[in-house]
Amino acid sequence: MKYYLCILILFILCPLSYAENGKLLATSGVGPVEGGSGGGLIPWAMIGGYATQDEIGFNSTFSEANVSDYTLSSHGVSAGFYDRVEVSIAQLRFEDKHATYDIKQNVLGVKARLYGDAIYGTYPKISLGIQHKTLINEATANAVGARDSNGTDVYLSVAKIWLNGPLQRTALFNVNLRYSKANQLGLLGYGSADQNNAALLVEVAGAVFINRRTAIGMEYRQKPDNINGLPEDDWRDIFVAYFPNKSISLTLAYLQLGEIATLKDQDGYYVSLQAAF
Amino acid sequence: MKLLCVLLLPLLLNGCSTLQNDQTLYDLLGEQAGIAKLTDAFIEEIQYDKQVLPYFLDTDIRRFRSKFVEQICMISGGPCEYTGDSMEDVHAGMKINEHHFNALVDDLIRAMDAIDLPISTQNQLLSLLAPMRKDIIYR
Repeated sequence: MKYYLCILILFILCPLSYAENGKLLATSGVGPVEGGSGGGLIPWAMIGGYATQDEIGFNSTFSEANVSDYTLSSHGVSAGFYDRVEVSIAQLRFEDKHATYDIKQNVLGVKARLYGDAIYGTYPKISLGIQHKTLINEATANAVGARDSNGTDVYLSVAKIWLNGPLQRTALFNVNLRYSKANQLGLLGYGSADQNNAALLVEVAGAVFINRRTAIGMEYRQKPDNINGLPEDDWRDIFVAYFPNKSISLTLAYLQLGEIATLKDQDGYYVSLQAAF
Repeated sequence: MKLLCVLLLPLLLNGCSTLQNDQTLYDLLGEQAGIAKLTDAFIEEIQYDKQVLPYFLDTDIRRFRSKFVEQICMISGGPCEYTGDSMEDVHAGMKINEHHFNALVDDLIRAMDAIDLPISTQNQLLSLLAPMRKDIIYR
């Protein structure tokens, strides 16, 4: 919480002229839990920050998910180079409210825009990303029967923004195809003794801007099911994102994460604050 | 009486939908007067935009104003013909980058806000202008 306050105060007091703000408002996306840019639960095709093809931009994100039996907090920074490549690092901390688990994970992400422009292009924007994840404390992953404590996800991301979408509102649609064998984002390791093949998973996000500064939307993230006895459910959220200016965004979401480590119906909220500079 | 209502209802509904269908963007923008007001608000925003203003230093603002009104009138479905030069010719050699282009879009959005155009009308106009970007930047 201290972090949120510091960053908030910093960005209200500091000169905002640092910001490379060449892109249009809200086109940077917000800060997903695994770092980089995207929605809350999944990355999107956009390169984070407001830097255009001639600029470099930086982002910092703090987020916290709070569901029935767990909390998942994340903080990360990312850099966007020339609206072409994004490099991100994030640390996730997953805690069990019954004090069984306290897991930390580092995520190093790289995303490259292969093609297109989400707003002005006839065709959508297409990006390819990787996320390399390492558990700092692997005891839990070992205990539940994961094969590895680190692993790499690869995803292809496609996004399109319609300035004059449904109901004459600006709208976004993003689809990812992810190749992964992560158990619960890799917080419970990668693969298992019985399952060491990566699965092809679908992730979807849609959002509508009710005005220039406020978007409402939903996300869906398909999950693999690698560990016998510890089934995973697909994740869903509905969110509201608010962009008061190009320096800051605030996202609130309602999460439905299903079953996590035998505890069912993990519903709750998610809050994320992202600062661009 | 009931019969009258039943008879009138489709007429009324039809009236509604016709009304909506007949409303071109030109009408929504407030026709010639509305477009002139928008153009003046846009020019005012540009005047206060340090990033964009340098690109307009050699511009004959009166000509820009009349050509911009013509162009918006034409693309919004109004009874006008754009008589200016092509977007490519106008912006040739100006080397407008993506940053400055988007700053100009922000100016237009601020101008549309300033004259209280509803967001739906704003989005219709922006989507008609968007395809011109490729003729404007990096020329």
